[in-house]
Amino acid sequence: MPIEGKPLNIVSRHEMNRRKLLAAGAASGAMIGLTVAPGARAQDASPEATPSDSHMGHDLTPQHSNTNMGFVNFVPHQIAILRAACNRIIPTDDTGPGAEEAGVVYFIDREVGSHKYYRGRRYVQGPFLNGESNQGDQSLLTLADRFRIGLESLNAYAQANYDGGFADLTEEQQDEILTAMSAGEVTEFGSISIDTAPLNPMPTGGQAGIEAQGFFSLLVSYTKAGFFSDPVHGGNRDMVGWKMIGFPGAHLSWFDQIENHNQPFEGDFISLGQYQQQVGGDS
Amino acid sequence: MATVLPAVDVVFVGFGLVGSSIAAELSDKTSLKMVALERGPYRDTFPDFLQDHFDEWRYAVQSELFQDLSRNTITFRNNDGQTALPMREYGSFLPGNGVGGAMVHWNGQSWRFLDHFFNYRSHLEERYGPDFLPEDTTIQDWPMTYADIEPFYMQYEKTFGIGGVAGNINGELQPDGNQFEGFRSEAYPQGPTKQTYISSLFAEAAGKLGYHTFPTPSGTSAGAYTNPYGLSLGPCNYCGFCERFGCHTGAKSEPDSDDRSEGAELRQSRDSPVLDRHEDQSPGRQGLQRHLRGRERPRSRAAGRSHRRRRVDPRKQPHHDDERHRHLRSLPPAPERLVATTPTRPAAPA
Repeated sequence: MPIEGKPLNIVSRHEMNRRKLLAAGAASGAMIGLTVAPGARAQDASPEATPSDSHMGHDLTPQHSNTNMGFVNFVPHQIAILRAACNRIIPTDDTGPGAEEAGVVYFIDREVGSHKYYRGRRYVQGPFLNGESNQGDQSLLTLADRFRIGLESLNAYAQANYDGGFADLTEEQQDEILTAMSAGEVTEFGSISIDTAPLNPMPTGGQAGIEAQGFFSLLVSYTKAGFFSDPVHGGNRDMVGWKMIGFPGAHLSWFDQIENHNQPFEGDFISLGQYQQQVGGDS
Repeated sequence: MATVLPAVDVVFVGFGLVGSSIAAELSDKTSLKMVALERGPYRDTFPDFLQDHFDEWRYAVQSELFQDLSRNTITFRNNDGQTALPMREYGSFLPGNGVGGAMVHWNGQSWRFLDHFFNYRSHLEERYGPDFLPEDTTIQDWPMTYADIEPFYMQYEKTFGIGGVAGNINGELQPDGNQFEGFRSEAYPQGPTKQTYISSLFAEAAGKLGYHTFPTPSGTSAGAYTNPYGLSLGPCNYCGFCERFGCHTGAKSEPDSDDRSEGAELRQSRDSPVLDRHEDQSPGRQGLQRHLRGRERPRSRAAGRSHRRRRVDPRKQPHHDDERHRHLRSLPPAPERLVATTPTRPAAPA
């Protein structure tokens, strides 16, 4: 392989990406960006591995028509880790579509660049002190940093304890890691608690990890948000999250139905954008 | 150099429930000149709340209608052994931002205090004995009684079109209302809103256990309502996007968008943060004026008006032709005035 000789973690990371992407068969149009990026980032890739006429051997034919989807914040291997984790938190199973179909990763990618946080516009100025657990989240970390540090920690943990990066593991292994994280049994990520705030979250010379349980909570929050938020924010594609739980969406009125107690919902699911078309608000 | 504008008699710093209520009273009963300063945006029922408020991520979770913590927050500690730290995210309370204040996004549950809240110390001592309360208790009787306050509760409920079922009218218990409430001089100005499935289940279950249930008194208008100031509320649509959202039918009890500036000229500032309350101790209206002007970059009245959104009659909106929204056709006419036409308004500055 062209990238032999690089440090092990770099090799496996890029390798994982390639394999994952090839296996995924570029299921979505956004994968186009992913398929190009690993090679492009590996500057030492040998010429024969990146024949320009075949775009590194990958088929760049668009797989679906949605040109609005893509990634502007995470780099490809982070997307692969995030995608794998989200897909285990809300898996695709016999109850219906999961995080994959909802496009949760696109939602999260957009949110981490929004400078907002899970509970709105956050106060990010001093004083910065370590707080106690009943003083709220005092961390200096941006949302993007939390995700990036957390995802890298997750992948490093998988590589150290299993046979590959997180995205390469079996679903059972992924569940094992996530379950252990949620139970507070994973300590290898780092000791910095999101709840009590680091004075210096990223000490010089390395990445201090945020603790695994807090990162798991963050992952769950945003996976749920991407699955159930209005599609206008990039997730909940085709309202799959709403259809799963029977939430009808942006309806103007239930005046005539509110007293029809315990009746199944049989109307249309309506997104904010569709509602705005109805009322002429987008013209 | 600061521009000195004509003096006024009253300046409201912030224009939420309290400021707008005082302004409404003053404009009704005096000829004082008033100016309201508001750092947050001016949002109208139409089209702001109609346009994009069906969005839980943005409004319910991302706190869109609350004060922007990235600009300004409080510090807090839970006991005197702690070091106070900034509140970086919202938790237990949600201050509003913009004209109308927190009433724009409240959920409308509108309770009176129970009558014994006003004489709590006497009440507890009478019930449990004089030694019941520790000596250093801070519990005291208020200097006024429930009966003193009752007319003002009534006035508030009429102003904001509160709906519910009375449980006690002048001492006579009413079978379907709250049996424990203090007396009311009149019934609620509106009936209760329709009951949802969940509340009907609760009422049924509680009733089987021998409990007495009643509809929550609420500031979500059950029907079309016109208050004593002549301002109107539309009927609630039961859309479900209520607390943390603005109301798209103008059914929520709040200083109604079109008339919040009742009697007062509204000056907004999006880019100037809070007035510094520590700086202005200068006596005299001119000093205050200059101070406010210097920090606030006031808009002229004309500019302020042009800044506002155009008025939209909901009954003329295309969706009101939709059969599913036919009940909206019964909406009362939208209030005719953008701002109150009392003679108290100062002339636009040159």
